[in-house]
Amino acid sequence: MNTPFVLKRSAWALTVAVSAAWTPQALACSTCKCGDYTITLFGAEKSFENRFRVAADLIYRSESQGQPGVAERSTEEWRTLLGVSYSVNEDLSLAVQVPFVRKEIEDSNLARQKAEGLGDIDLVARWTLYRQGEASGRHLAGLRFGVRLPTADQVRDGGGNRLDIDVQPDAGATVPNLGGWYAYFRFPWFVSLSATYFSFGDGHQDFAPGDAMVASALAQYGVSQRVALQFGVDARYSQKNRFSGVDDPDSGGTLAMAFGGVAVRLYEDLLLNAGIQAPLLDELNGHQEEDPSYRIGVAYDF
Amino acid sequence: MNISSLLCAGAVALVVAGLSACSPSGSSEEGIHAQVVAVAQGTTPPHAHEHAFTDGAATPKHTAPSFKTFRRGDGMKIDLQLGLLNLMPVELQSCGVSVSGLLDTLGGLLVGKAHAHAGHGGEAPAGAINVVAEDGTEFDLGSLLAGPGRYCGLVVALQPGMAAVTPKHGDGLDTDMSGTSVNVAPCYYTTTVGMTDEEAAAETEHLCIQARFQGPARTVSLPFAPVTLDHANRHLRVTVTTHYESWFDDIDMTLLAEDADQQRRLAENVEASLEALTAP
Repeated sequence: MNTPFVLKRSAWALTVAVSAAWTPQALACSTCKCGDYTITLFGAEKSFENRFRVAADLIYRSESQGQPGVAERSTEEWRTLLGVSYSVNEDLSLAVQVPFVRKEIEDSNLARQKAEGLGDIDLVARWTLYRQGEASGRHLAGLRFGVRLPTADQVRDGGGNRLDIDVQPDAGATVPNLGGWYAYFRFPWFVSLSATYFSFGDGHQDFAPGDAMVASALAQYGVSQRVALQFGVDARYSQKNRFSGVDDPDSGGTLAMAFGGVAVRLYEDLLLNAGIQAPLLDELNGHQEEDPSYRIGVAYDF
Repeated sequence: MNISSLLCAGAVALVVAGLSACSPSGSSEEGIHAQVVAVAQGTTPPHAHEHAFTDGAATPKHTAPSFKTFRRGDGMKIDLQLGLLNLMPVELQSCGVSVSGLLDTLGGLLVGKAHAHAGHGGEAPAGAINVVAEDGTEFDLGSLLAGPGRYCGLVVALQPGMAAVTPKHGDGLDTDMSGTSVNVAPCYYTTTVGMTDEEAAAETEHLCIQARFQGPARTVSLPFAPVTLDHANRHLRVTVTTHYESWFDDIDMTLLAEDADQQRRLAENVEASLEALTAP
């Protein structure tokens, strides 16, 4: 009789974990102007067989690149992520995530472009290779692998002219990625460490995003069974982007961002989460300015 | 099928429906930019003449089929057979503080853009301003981007042509501008100094030369009446006028073809002959 309760409680813990462990990574990738992000539906939680989850996130971010006052380009982005995930068993979970992106860019000379459309779809798998501890495990570790598909729209303006790559929803590149993760569970604490390497193929408009390495360290403290606080650090190193074979001097570099957020369970399987990410260490190349990012999301386990 | 399965199917359907409802859309809005054109301005229309074409650094015969006749400051009559300038806009100048403009985002392509639209005179290679063309003929020098602000001038560069252009073949003048900022071929009438216009027009004794300025790029600031560019005023048209009739003032025409100092003075005169006017 206790089993359903345990499962539900696990699901709650897992649900909180998913928001905490993975969403910040997405924001850490935001320095890529074409939306180099990583969000999965898995999180670092303990999966259970036949779990099916639907989630939606809205992320707002802004940045500027180029010499201020002369050749600066400011970007605002609203990214909506819709996804589903399914756990084949307690060790293997699969997910697909579909981004819809709205971007606006404004140049120093007040020229503006707006675009909205489908971004590059992520297919991701998470595999648990190591469990240690009682029940389903206190220490878990494994691999994460996936591929981003070049599904992004090539948006045009009202006159039929293709808009700049910087305002396109995504790069339109194929991006295989591979990483490892570790998670520690001991209520009210949850700790997650992860690192993933993204190998970017060529995108639209002769744009080649630089390969990136994203690492994340995150902790979560459960204030109660319904509310959890989250904080952590996300870092990213990326190579310079290339346009037509030429390096973009105002791209790539290292960025670390601090994350703070909260997750709230409204019903048994419904979770709301929100968070803010702010630059902590900025070693980006050339002229790049990353602003704080904001996220709000909802997830539901069936 | 149980309730969970139905909910799953419903959720998937909802996601799919949501995706299909979001078709791509986009818009663009032009920013502040200044279109720069150049025109040549003199006081006399171009002439056609009947002399046979000849070659040579100094020859008594005209080479080009048409030319512009004028008198320089000291009264010497000049028949300008060829007058090519390689002129490039560099930036708009803010009132007070300098440097608040920039080349087109694609930088080097600006030159190509300008070149692609220049050469309306027919005889000039692509990219050069041909002052022997009919006065008022416009040569597109490309566009400059600028941020919001108040602007009082335009910086232009008189610079060597970067790419070799195909020179005119046959018996005509060499119009190749590679490495050349100014390329001129005047015929000058030394005895017309002090003559009346009627007397000078009747004079036939002359020599023809061709000279180039191939020194380093020179920049010059051309002031214009203050203009405010902002959200409401995003387009500016700047016309650079060159008054070619002053190009040969105080120049020793007998040395111009070979002497670097005289050629530098020619470039200085060309610079001094430039002025900028604006229109919305």
